[in-house]
Amino acid sequence: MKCACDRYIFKSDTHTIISMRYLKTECGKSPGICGDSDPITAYISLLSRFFLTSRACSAKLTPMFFIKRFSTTQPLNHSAISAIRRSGAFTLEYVRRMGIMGLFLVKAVLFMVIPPIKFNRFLKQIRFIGLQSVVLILLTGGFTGMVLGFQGFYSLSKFGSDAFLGPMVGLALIKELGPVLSALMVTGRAGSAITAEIGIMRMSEQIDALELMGLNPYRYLVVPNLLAAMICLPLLTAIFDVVGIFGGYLIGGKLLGVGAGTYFGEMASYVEMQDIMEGFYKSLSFGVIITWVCCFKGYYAGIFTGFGSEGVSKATTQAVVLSSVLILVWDYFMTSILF
Amino acid sequence: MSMIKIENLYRSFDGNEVFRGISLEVMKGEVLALIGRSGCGKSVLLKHVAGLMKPEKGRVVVNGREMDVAKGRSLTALRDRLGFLFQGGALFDSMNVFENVAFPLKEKTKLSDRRIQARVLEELDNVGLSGSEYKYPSQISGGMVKRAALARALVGDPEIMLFDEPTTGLDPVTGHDIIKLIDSCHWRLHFTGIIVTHEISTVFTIVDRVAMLHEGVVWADGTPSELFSSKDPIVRAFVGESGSGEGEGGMHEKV
Repeated sequence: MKCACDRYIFKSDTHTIISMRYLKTECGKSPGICGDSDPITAYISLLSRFFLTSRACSAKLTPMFFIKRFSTTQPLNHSAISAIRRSGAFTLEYVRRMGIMGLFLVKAVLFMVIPPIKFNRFLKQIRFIGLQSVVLILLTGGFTGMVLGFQGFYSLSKFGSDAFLGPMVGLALIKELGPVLSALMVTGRAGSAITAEIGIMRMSEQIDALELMGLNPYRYLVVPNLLAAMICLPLLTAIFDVVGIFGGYLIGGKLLGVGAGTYFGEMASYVEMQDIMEGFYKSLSFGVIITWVCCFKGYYAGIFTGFGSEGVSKATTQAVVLSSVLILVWDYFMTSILF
Repeated sequence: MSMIKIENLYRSFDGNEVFRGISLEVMKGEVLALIGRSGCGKSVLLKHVAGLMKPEKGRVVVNGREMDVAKGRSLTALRDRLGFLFQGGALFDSMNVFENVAFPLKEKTKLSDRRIQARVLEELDNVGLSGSEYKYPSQISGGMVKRAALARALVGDPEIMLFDEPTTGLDPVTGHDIIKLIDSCHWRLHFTGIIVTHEISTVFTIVDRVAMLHEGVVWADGTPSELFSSKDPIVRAFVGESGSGEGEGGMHEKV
């Protein structure tokens, strides 16, 4: 005997087919379990038997049937339990990792305020994170300012207020684009390199070697980066802002005809110290976020992301993605607090 | 007097029990070879002795102090007397050979630069690396990396030396040289040592005792000649075939 639901059963996945077979052998009937030819009811019945241990294959699929089924203390199917278990284990593991990541920052800050500080490594990292990023910041800052000049002039001239191009470019750069874009640039350039370096040191047991010499790896690998980023990020942001403002002037002033007096004069009267401090606080916190995430991902490369070169590459990707996302999310919260 | 004492050590990784009650003792001045199949936990045991890993159950006592519960300064004090030769050398690749060997002295002692330089050059000479002081780890061969790592481990005059597969990845001649070098350093410094190795034919000539790990316990423990004359089929399979000088290649790998 063949009922209409047969067609639907064989279109669905293997689990359904298996459960269908199971039912067939248990009640000794053919697959026409639903007793009618409605394919949808048949499918619902199959699903319910897949998730619940069912003996009554001739039960009517009324709402009361489902209520009774779910309210009884009958054990759920093994696969359903293991799915719940897996999701629980997954959540616990992530909470644990977040805890470890939080502790990592606490330790790093602790060792930053307790001397000694490894001055040579600190200088080296200043050179790496700061000095070697300057060209990149000049380039991105300049072009960001220039594009702001174009777009700002276009939008403002619609309201006949193109004289306010200066404050618009200045505020946008100082409060928002300067800190965020320079942080993203530093993440891509220096952050990824920090993760890769520490990750390879972890893989080749160099961190173990440091520990065995009785030396604290945080002092050598994390603290110099953290300090250097906290100093360099605000400075790089300042360079980004200045170059961007001049880039905006190049377009607005020289190309589109806004006077230098208007551009800089209006900017001086509308941009306040509070705005500059907002950008400063943001860039400072972004410096912490970048080094925190990138050092953490490198430090735990062999443990959380698998072994070998693949582990390092995964760690680097995760570090760049996570710090970029955290920068943008944290930027929102900083703005809403400082607004 | 026992220098390293491991008592009833248990440790598992992802539900896989690696140690099921390991007990081992190494006397002062003695050199012990640790053998066993790949993946039986020899290197992991070494890391427990060094305090890089903590046991789930059991104790690790080094020089009369418990390594497994030591923290902070007491752990640092224990590690100051301990040298570790890592499998890959673990030289800092941002520093040259000289800086690598000088690093522990610069960071841990208050010696003047001149004395550090003299000490480092002496140690590099001992391991046969004179003339390569200013090369970087990427510019030297595997055997030289091992020599430099050995110099770095020995520069602080450790009382305990742990060697994690000192000959792996080297050709037989260079491997033999490294073993001879370890032997001569032992005669000079009288350290207590554990050598994790597959190179049974050469290593057995320089060690006082051999311990074999199998199925999470110390399966056999005795002098090299005792192991060679053992009737145990597992020991025989391991020592008998590897003793012919084939090293790692002579072993049966667990499938």
